[in-house]
Amino acid sequence: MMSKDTHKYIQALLQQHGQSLPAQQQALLAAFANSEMMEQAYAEIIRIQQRIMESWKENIDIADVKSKPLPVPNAQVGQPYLFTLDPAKAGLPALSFFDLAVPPESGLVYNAADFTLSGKPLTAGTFPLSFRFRVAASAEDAPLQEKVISLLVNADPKSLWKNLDSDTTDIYWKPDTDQARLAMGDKTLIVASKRGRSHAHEGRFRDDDFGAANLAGGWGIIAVADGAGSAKFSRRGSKIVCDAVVNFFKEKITNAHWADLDNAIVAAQTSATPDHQKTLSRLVIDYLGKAAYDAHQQLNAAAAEKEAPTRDFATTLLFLLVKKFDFGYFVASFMVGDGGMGIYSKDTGQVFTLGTPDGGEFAGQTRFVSMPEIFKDESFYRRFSIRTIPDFTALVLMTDGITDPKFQTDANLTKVEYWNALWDDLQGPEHRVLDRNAAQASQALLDWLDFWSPGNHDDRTIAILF
Amino acid sequence: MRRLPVYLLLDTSGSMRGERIEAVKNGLEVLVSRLRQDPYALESVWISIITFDREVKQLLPLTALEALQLPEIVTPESGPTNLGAALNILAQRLDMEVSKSTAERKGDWRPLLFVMTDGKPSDLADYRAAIPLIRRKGLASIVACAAGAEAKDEYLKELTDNVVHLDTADSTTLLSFFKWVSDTIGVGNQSVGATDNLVLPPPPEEVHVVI
Repeated sequence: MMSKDTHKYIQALLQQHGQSLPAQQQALLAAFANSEMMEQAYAEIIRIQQRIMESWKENIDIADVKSKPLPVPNAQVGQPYLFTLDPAKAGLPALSFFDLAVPPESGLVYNAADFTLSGKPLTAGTFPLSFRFRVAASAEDAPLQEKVISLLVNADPKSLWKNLDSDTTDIYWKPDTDQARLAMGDKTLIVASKRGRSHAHEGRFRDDDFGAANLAGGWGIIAVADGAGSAKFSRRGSKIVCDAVVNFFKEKITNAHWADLDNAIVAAQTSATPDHQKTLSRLVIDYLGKAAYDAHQQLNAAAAEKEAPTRDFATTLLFLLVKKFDFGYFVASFMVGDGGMGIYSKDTGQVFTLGTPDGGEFAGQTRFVSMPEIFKDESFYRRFSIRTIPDFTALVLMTDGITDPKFQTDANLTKVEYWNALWDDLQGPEHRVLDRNAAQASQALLDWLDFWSPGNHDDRTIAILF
Repeated sequence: MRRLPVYLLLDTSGSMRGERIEAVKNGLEVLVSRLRQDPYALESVWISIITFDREVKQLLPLTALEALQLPEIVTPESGPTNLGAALNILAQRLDMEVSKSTAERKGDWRPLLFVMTDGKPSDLADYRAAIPLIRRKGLASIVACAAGAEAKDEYLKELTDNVVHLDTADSTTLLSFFKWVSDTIGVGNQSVGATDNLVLPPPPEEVHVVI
């Protein structure tokens, strides 16, 4: 076998070098190729060729390892990190050895026994990891090759937030936080409003606002509003509309008006005929609708005074009237924009949402009380809600700074498990917000507003009647 | 959690080869590392990179900024600038990758699109046909950048009102462009996702806004 290969090889070699090899030389060639010396020479050539081939394979494998990405997932400061290094899975050529040298300041260590990179990073930055390897095609004692991989450690987003004061000299300045606590009938109202981290980071203003008051005849009003983030003077807009609806009921609704409403409620309660229901609906739409329109007009007036378009004062508006009757509580509400209102009863496991948030197909799209079409559209009538209820655990109004992190979707706003979670969080051992006799209850609520929720750093306002 | 999707459409045609593409790569590094210093971006920005030359490739599917690793970008020796084909791929990706609000699901913020080219669309008919398609996608803003003397503003104006021009497509200028992009995306820009028209931060000296 070997001699036949030797023969063929020598024949090809001679022809390659221009030897014609006529027929009479064939016997001579056979004897020449069959000699021990030629056999040995041929074997040597084959060995050298194999070494060349192996060396080539080694070279391309090394180049392959060096050029192909060996991704190591990004880490984050303070978060436990665990990654198992698997070069074969990353599509690298076979390796007879590899390890990873990790700079200690990264806070991670490599364990060669199980190929894991783990630890808890301490500092943000990019760290060079030295991947040392020997390809399977290399000799066992071949020197190790090196490839540098970048490990990226992200900062903890919490550590990046700045808290810059807003400009107190601005004409529309308002405090970065606000709170209130007042007795309302046999319940207590606590309200807290706080500038979001995204505004604090830039030294911008709180765009949210609220208003609340006890009115004539045992009625109470509660309002919250969220100025549009993109509108220049929305911080003023949210204050204007909250003040407007509170003042409307204080000043424009007389005792006679209240008596009409009370009578209509009692009539509708005692004999729920369509006529009685209609009278009540008409009064609610009349009073609350006029209050909302007054708020809209006041935005127009403020804009005219500032010589700016009304949309610069764009704001949402959620408000409700509440009063205790013999049969229980009567609540009527109006809502433009996002956020949410609900009546929560823990014992019965029920929640009634008041109104439907206005939303678009993308996040952050909503409607504002500054828009004139709000009062013209057919949907105007769907902005009102009426509810009677024997008793409740809490009546809650929230801007989207609360509903986004705590409820995520409009559908969840109607699910009692989300309200249970909110309630448990508020009165849990960490917060203990809900002590109605404590003078600092609204401060506790304000502290609660600091809760952490990734990506949710809008202004937060919540009003709780309980 | 609501994401802010950011799509980067980058010209990798033959004319970008060399210093320009190196400057783009460097610019992307700077863009990403600047955004990583921004707590809001770190929690909400997702980035996708689509390159176009003769072929259109989504080199990076929409990926969270915190998890993102920049892909290798290569340019062919020569060849056309198929921006129209790129817009068509973009339209598909927007449909696949961006979530819209439903009662049961919180939608993403409205996506941002940045387009950068140093020439003009070679597939002009496709390009013009794709523009209304992209307009219907509800993007918060489209910013187009014409980089270098040969880049044509007028075609980009058909796509968006926000066209910026770089007189030279050298590394310094491209870097300042990418820094400006990071300012446009970052927390400093409160109007992201909230309005119909994104307010662009004032561009650096090297970046001219085409009126």
